[in-house]
Amino acid sequence: MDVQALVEPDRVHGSLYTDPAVFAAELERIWYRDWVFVAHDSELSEPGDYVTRTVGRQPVIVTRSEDGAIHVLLNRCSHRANLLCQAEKGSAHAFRCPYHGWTFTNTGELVGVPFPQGYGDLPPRRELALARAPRVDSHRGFVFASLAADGPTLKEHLGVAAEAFDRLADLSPAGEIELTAGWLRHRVAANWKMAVENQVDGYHPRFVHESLFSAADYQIRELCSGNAASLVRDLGGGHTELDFRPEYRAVGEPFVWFGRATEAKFPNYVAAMRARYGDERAGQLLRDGPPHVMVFPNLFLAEMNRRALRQTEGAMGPAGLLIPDDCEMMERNQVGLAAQRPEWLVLRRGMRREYTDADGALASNVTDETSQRGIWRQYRRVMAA
Amino acid sequence: MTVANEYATVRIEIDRQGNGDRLRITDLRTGRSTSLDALELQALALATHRDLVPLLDPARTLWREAD
Repeated sequence: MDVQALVEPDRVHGSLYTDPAVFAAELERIWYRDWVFVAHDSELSEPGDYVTRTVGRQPVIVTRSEDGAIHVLLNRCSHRANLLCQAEKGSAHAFRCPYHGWTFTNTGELVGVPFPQGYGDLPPRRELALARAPRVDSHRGFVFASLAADGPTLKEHLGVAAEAFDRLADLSPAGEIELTAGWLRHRVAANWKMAVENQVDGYHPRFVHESLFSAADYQIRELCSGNAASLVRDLGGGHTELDFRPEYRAVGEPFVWFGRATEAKFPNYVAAMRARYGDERAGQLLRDGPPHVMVFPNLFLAEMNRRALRQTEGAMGPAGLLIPDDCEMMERNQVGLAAQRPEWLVLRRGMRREYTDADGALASNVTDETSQRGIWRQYRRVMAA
Repeated sequence: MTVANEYATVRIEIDRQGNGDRLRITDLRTGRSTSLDALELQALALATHRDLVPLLDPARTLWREAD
């Protein structure tokens, strides 16, 4: 399949969102090869903890073994392929298949099978361990897996985007974040790439989210104005960012990103930040705020704290406005794509004004499609590989 | 109290039937139970999870073939 011909510098072909053959190729070349985010360290705080996830369409169990190591096991009994683990999360040092009782440790070893004498001189042994992701690595507590034995390291994969994890985790005086509140899931009848593109689309908020902005005071309304100093950045490797720091830096005070709060509102937090990072770095962190970075292909980094949790409960859930409005747009997008003309989606906004910034990223006005073009450049590269 | 995960559900309680206290563990699926004394519990406390792996072999317990 010649996917490359379907991605041009300023437009992409509609079939990339609709063709099952394209999706099948994406699974092989992106999801089963690249580094994919699977869990956060804090979701597996104790040995024996596990969570179930998917990598592409493959179900996996992410476990923490007794020695503290994290394993990503394929959630398929090595006997006759039953789903070994059904719960979203739990604590278990061993998994027992509900079909025939084959039992495995949380590192994937086969412990035993019921009524083994029936196997005679062919007893199920070590070779029938669970399959596992050959590569697992983490950065600042975010655990990634690759189903390919070879390829770029996680560090190479993240590249410049690794800094966004630092910016997020360093907003905690403990230097790490906790993601233990669980997940709010949306089922969306749209191609996965629409979600990736939308997270770093600074053009839509003033249209799609205007109803939210009219009901509540959301800072993002001004941050995504065509007149704002905010930027969209292509960090390379398909990782992209809505960078609001120029707006915050223009004010030059801490907490502009936090509703323009003052330091006096959080004296203990500010003191703890200064104690850990020193005045200069703490001042920079508190002024710049959290990242707004889409890590290709499946992790969006944004504010993660108690306020974000309350906002998630209010604005992100099915009764809210923010994410449900985005989901509605993605679903309508998918319906619109059923119309086969015009064949191409236009992504040329800002091509004439984007520039390479001091960090080597391609940057432009926050409403520009520099981010989408960056995502598709990476897509074209990995799909051709 | 009851302790459960997706693979088993057991009830644990203090067993005061004997001369000394023990901990009774009852498998709620089969109704079978055992009462463990302090020394046995200490052995469990000092064991690693790896030490317990042989006990998890299904062929050792409910799914054992007749010799």
